[in-house]
Amino acid sequence: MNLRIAYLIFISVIMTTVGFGQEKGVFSGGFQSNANFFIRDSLIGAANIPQYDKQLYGAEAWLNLGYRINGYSAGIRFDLFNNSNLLDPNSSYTDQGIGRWYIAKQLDKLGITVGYIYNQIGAGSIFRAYEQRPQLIDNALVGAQLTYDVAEEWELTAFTGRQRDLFNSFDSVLKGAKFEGYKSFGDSIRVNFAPGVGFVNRTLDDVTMNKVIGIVQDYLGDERFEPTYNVYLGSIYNTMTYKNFSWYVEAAYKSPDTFRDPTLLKTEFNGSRSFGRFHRQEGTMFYTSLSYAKNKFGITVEGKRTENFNFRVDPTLTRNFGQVNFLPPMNRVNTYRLTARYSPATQDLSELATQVDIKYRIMKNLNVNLNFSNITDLSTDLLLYREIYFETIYKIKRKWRMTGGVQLLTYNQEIYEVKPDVPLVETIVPYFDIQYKIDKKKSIRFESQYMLIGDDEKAGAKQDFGDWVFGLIEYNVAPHWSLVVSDMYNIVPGKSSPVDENGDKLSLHYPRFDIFYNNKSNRYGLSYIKQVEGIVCTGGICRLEPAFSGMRFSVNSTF
Amino acid sequence: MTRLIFIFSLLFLASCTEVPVNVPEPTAPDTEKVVLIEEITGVDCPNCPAGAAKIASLIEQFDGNVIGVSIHGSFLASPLSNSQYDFRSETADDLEAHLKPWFGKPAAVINRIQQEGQSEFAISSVDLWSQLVVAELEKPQTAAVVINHEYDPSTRDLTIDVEIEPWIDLSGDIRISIMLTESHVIDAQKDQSEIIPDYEHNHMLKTMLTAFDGDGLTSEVLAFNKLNRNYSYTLPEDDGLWIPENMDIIAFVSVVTPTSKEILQAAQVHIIE
Repeated sequence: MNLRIAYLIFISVIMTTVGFGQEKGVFSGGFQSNANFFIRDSLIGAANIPQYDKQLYGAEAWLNLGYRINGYSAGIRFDLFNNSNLLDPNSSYTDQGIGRWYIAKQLDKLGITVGYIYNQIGAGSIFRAYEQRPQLIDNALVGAQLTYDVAEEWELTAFTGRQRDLFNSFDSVLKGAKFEGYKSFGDSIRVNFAPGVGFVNRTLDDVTMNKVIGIVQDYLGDERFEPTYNVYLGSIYNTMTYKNFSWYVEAAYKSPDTFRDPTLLKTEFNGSRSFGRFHRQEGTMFYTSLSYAKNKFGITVEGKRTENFNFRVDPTLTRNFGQVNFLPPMNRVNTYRLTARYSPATQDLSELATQVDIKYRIMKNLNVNLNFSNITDLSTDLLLYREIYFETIYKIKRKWRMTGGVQLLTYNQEIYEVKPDVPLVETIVPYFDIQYKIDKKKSIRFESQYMLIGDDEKAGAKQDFGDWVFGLIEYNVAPHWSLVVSDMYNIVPGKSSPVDENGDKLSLHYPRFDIFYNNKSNRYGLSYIKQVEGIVCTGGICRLEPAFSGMRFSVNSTF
Repeated sequence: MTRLIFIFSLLFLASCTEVPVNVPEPTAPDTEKVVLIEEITGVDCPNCPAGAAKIASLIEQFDGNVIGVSIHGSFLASPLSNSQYDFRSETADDLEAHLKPWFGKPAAVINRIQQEGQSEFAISSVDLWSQLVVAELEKPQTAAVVINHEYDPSTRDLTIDVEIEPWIDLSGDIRISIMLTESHVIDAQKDQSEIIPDYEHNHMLKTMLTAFDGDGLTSEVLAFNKLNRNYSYTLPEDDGLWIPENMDIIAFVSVVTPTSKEILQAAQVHIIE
């Protein structure tokens, strides 16, 4: 949308509502910006993209403004990308404009929202419109949404629109509805239900359909199929709580839809065959999570079965583009550098996953956490990911906090990173994290991990990049300063490690220095970063990020 | 309210029937137009054999109307541990950058057309290439390109004369590009499940006799006024590569404007027939 029009709408809402004078309006906002200074380092692979070769600088910025008064709310967001590598880590993206605006009004039981809308149905298996800035995912629904309070704690929501595509929108139309509520059976029975049901329909536009027809036209014999404009999805979900138990279940169905299956063979005109073919199939997804927590003990068991549940606004889109749904990841969210090095991206076509998480407080100051996750291919039983994670946290008064543990991991790099002819990556990562409070204001934290990786017998070397050691020291002076120094060292190089002129593998350091300054609700960061290539996951969405070398300045403000 | 929900649900379900889309049989356009597919590829790219297979199929399907060139730039193109050759070159690197943006390999640009609704210039969805080629072939031909050449095996000297005849009045930055390609090169290539040690690499860009983005011809030319350019080149010594029997000359004419790099017509001949 034109910047001027969006600005006028936003100001109009503010000016209109000022006249009511019954309630004091609430103005809020936020600003986030990153400025990257790229320093070419071809040895680690930080090269051959425009930012390293000629642009040398890239930046992103977002400014949110919101205003609420008398049941009205309105918001606007300015987005800026200058030679940014967020959209595609191997390319450069420059543009700016209004990234989002919305106007909402609550009229008794009826809620009206127009503009760029974020929402989801259940856990998101059939619809999730959300923003994830680290990977530049913003698939807001550009359209209109109505909510209606059918009864106390029962709400009906209906929406229609198109998915945001950077500063434009995709042409396919999405519409959907959900009906959610909450029912308590009182304190005596102590059973509560939070059920919901949702529907979504996508109608392809003619340009997209013509693309699909063009693809199918190229198919021979039995590989041909008749595409349809519409696909329908439905989900039913419920959270039941009983005493210390909580049970969530979600089942979703997708009517036959066109999508690309990379495991199917396509026959070319000349008779050759290669992997990757579109076809039309129905899909299902089932997810459940059962939790129990009492006193010192807590356990969560999760299971997920996914079959042909890829759902995009345009079936020809790839990577993270145009995704309408979100399938929750089924592995532990790891935060330490080496324990998070290999993370599994959700497989939306074929996946069977389980996860168990157990927490136990042995003593008041001693906690343990055990996590197990296992992900296999649904149709072939091929192991994709397995993680056994043990962690213990010990506190000594308020001065010391010591965390230690070990992670045992098996990761199918061939599937997740499309790296052929590599064995399952197997790692053992012991780690510790010690935090000491020097006084009321000052604290210091030490963190270290060692990654022992398996051998790639074919390559005659350690798997992937080999063994790593990581060390970090963080010094905090509350409430303003935080200094962090870390280094990730490729102590035993592996198959993919860089080589010198003689072809000998190099043991490289990947240092990082950060200075953060907090002042009220503003946070400033200045970092020097050398980062090895790896999978980066945010909010359950993963992608392979190339190596990074450079300086980064960041600002985060809320007001 | 319950009634309203019931009616709403019925309406939703009632709209679930649609007439299936008819997919017509593909037809080969009757034309002398020759389309150039520039494929961005690399030996370290597991999906690239699928792209190469697609181009081979298109060349066979539209015999004489499609020319392919495989550009091994720097991304995912470093030699593998069992590679015999390094296919990368400065020219390929320049072209790889020239044809950006693309989101991954393989990617292909057909006649250097920015496709409507696509944020990529080189399209990384192999499934779309066929229809983009057909769309280009269905456009009227606007120029003819003829390559005459001589090759001296004793000196490995190659002389090329290219004649361009526009069939419509042209204006803009009219450019000529000359590429040398080599086929039947056996060397390692990553595939989705393995490294193929004896993969056959075809129509691989070896060098360009013009600048990577072409040499300027003129800014304006009337229909049927011919433009000629001569080039000469000495093939490097045969080191397993640069085998003239496996090499082709590709010439094409393009019109560059601030919003387009469109190729009007391409031609290809073997160095040794």
